Amino acid sequence: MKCKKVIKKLAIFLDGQAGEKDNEAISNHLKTCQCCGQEVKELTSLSFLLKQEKESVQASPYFWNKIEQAIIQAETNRNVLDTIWEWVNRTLIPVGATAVVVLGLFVGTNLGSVIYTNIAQILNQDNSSLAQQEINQSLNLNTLNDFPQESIGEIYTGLLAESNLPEQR
Amino acid sequence: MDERELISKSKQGDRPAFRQLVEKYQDSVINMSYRFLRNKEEAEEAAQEVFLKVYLSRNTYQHQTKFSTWLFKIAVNYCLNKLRDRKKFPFSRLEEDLPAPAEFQPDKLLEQENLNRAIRKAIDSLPDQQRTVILLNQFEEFSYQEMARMLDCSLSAIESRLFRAKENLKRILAPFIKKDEI
Repeated sequence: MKCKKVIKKLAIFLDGQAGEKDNEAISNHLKTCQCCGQEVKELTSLSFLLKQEKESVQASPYFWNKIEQAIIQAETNRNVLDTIWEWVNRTLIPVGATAVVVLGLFVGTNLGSVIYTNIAQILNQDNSSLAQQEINQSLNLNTLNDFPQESIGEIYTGLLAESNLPEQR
Repeated sequence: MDERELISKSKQGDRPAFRQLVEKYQDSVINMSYRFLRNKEEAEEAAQEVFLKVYLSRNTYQHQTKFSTWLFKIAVNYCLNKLRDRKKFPFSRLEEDLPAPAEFQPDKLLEQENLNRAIRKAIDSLPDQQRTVILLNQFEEFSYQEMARMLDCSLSAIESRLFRAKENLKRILAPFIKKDEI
C-alpha cells in the first residue's frame, strides 16, 4: 500500500474499524514508513486533544415535564384533527354527494322544461318552416342535412346506373 | 426493563416507558445539540423537540436499526436544519460568544477553558458535513457503519469526510498538537 492511500485510511485504522486486509497492509507499511508514522502520532494527538473538550450540558429538572406537555398538546391537536376528519368522512362527504345529485336533478329538470317550452312556443307559431329551422337548430339536426333525400332502393339503383355508365360507352 | 421492551411499550403509547428512554439518552442528545448549536437553552429546546418527534413517529421505528442510531439521525437532521435557518437569518443567531483564536495568550494555552474554546472554535469552523462526522465519531463514538446509516451515505463517503475533517482540525489546532505531541 502506498503512503497516499495509507494516510487516507489511517483514521479508520486508528478507530479500529478498518477491514482485516487493510489492517494488515497498514500495519506492515507503518513498520517501515517514518512519514506515515508521524501522521499516526499527529492523529493520535488530535484525538487525545479533542477528548479534552469536556464541557457538558445537563438537562434541566423540568426537561421531561416539558416533553410530556408537548406530547399531550400534540396528541390533543391530533385528536381534534382526527375528529374533524372523521366528521368530514361521516357527514360532509355523503351530504355533499347528495347535494350534487339534487342540484344535478334540479338543473336538468329546469333546463329541460325551458327547452321544451321554447319548442312548444315555436311550434304554436304559424310559420312552420321557421319552426322547423328553430327545431333543427336547437336539437342540432342540421348535421343530418347531408343525408340524401331518396329512399334506399332509389339510391341503390342510382349507384348501379353510375357504375354501368363506362361499359355502356 | 431492557431497551427493546421500553421501545415496544412506548410504541403502544406507554409514556412512563418513553420517559425511561428519554432519561437514558437526554444528556447525549443535549450535548450533541449543544456541540452543533453552541447555545445551552437552544440545545435543550432542540433535544425536547427531537424527543417529541421521536414519540410522535415512534411507530415508524424498526427494530433492525439501533434505537440510538435512529434517535441521533433525527437529532442530527434537526440541528443541521437549525444551522441552515441561522445562515438564512443570521441576526436570529443566539450562539454564545466565543473569542477568536488570536485572543488566546500563549501562557494560558494549557488552561482547560481556553483549550475547550480553541477546540470548539476549530470544530465550528468545519463545513457541516465534516463537523457532523467529527461530532458523531469523536464525542458520541458511533461506528462508521452507524454514521453511514444515520447520514444516508456510503461508508467511503464517511471515511472521506472524516479524513478531511481531521486534516482541517490538525491544521487549525497545530499549535496544540505540537505541544501534546508524543
